[in-house]
Amino acid sequence: MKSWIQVFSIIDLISVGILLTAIVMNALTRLESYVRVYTFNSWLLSSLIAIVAFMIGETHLYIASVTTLLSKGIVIPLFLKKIVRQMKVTHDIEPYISNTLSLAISGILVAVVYTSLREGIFITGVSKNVLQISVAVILIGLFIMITRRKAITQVIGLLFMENGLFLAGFSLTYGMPIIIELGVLFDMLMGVIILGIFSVQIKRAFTSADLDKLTTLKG
Amino acid sequence: MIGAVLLIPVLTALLCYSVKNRRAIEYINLFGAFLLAGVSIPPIIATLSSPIFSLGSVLYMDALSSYIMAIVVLISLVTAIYSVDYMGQEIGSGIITIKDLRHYYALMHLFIFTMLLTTVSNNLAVFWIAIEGTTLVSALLVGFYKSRQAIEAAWKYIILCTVGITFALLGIFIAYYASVSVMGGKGTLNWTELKDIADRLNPSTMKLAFIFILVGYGTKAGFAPVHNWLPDAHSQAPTPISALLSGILLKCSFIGIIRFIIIVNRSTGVAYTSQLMLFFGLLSMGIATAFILLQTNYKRLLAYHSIEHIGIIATGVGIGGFWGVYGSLLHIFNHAIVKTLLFFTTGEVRLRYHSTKIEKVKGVMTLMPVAGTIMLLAALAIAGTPPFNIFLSEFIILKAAADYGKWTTLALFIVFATIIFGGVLHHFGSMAFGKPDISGGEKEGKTVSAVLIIMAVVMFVCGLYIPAFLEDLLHNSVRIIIGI
Repeated sequence: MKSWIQVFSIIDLISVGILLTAIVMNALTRLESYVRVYTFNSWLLSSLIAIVAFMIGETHLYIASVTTLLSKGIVIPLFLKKIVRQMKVTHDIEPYISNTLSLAISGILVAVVYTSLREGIFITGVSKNVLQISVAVILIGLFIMITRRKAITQVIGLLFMENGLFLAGFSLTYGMPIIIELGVLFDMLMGVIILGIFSVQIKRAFTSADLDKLTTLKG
Repeated sequence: MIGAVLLIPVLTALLCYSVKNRRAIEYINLFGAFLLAGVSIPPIIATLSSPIFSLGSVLYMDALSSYIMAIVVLISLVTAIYSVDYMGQEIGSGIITIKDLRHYYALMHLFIFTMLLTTVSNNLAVFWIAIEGTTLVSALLVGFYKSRQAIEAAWKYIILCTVGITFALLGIFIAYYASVSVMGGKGTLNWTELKDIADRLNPSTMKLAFIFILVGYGTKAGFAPVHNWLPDAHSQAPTPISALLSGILLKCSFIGIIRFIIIVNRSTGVAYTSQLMLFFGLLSMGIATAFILLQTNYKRLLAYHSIEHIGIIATGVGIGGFWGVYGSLLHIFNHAIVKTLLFFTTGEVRLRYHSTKIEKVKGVMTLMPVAGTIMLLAALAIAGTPPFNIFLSEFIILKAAADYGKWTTLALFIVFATIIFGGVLHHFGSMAFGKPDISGGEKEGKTVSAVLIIMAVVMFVCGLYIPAFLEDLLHNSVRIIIGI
């Protein structure tokens, strides 16, 4: 089976999938689809870790894969869905820029990352593409945060950044010691819950879930 | 020993949350704060002779940790005392309920716990987890009043700092990668071990890691140009929390950068990090100067002062050498004292005048002789007037700049400091003097006045001479940073 993984370059396939799920966000118009894409992205991340764990036979990577699946693949998406339902917001994203432009800029971001990291200062061992893809995912997450105006879209942008970050850490060193990863995951879960609470409060206080209403504090 | 220091605030938080009687909550809060102060003394003294490890090697305390921990514990103690009166008045005027009060004290002690954890973590990733913890807990405190402004401030705070800190984690991954290439197989994230292998770490990898760390922790420390969250968060949080945010949280994050600088300097040489620190330090000072002059809200004014002073601290580290770093570290302590004092006195002003606009406040000295006088003295101190403590540390940094021939830094520093001096006198002068618009109500609280006077005395005494114990801690800490 190990040879199968290499023959069909499954690792590259999955990491390209991770990149595509990030890029697809630019074309989506509804909050629910954002949550769904994030879920899919997390599942891909988890399966990538599981496959590498199988290839190099590391137990702690299996644990990392399972915890990723549980937290990012199941708990956080369910929580986000609940928040979206609870806020009863209009479900359209209404980005600041058009989807076409947004897609084009994401494409340029990926190209820039690939050219600037072409030298490959980090030899990953797993795949030559994983680091570039992870940095691209981080940047696309940031880009989504900047250009979308709903509170939840910022949270999802942030979550994409964290997924990209995990992928980067994983491609550099096969992940951190498991205790550290659990700690980081715990912080992330808490962060999502607190952001969820605040987005409900924003909706209540500003009678809108749009962040461009948040302009009372200046100077 | 370290375990007990970390356990006490957590237990205090749990107790504060589970009790439903106002007096009981306040006594638990005070008891917890005093107990923490007492328990933290033995490890702090012990580290003067040798570092302590705990929990394997996850927790570690050397003189530098002790120094920051001492400041955290001290400011937490006075904040706990001050909170009783301040939040008591908020309850009295019906702004918050007992349930809010329980949340407030529980979150405050959790916040103190996360800050203490940053001072003692040896593992870089544990430090990261602790810093992210401070963001999450304090964001809830920033949004405490649930007003539009408070929610907006909390949202900006948590989003900006979490994004920033995500980059810091990438920096940590890169450092871990560098250590794997040196040690083979399992790398290390422990600061003590990284320090030992630092001269063999790949310089260009470490440079890249440092950039990410600087962006990440720099956001949290309040460096310009990623300081936008800071004035919002500091002005919307309850006043005692503003004191914690400004007085110690910024420094905890700054120490993360310092710990990393110690490693990076051994790998790349001093020039790289010191240039970056000088650049961000002076940029922060410059941007803060502009905003200080234009400010109309005194809590935001104080927040911009925090940016200025974190800039001064970074500049001191950038100048480097024994006295540059010494001045910086001393400035961390001095700024914590003076800024806490300013937030406390202006908190009293807010309770009396019900406004945070500078133009609405007049004649504080007539209405509140103790708080008003101390506010004016502290304002003079923060502007760098002798004989107060801030003058001493700023002078040491300037002297270091002259000694090492950093004339551009020296010139910019003096220009900014002079402009800020004018701004501070203008703003605080108009608040302290004049005829009050409102009639004098009740007298000033005795406990609050006592706390203010004690801290004012510390501010004054530390401007004249540095106590021997503090001097020892400082000397040992500087030796850790510059590596002799």
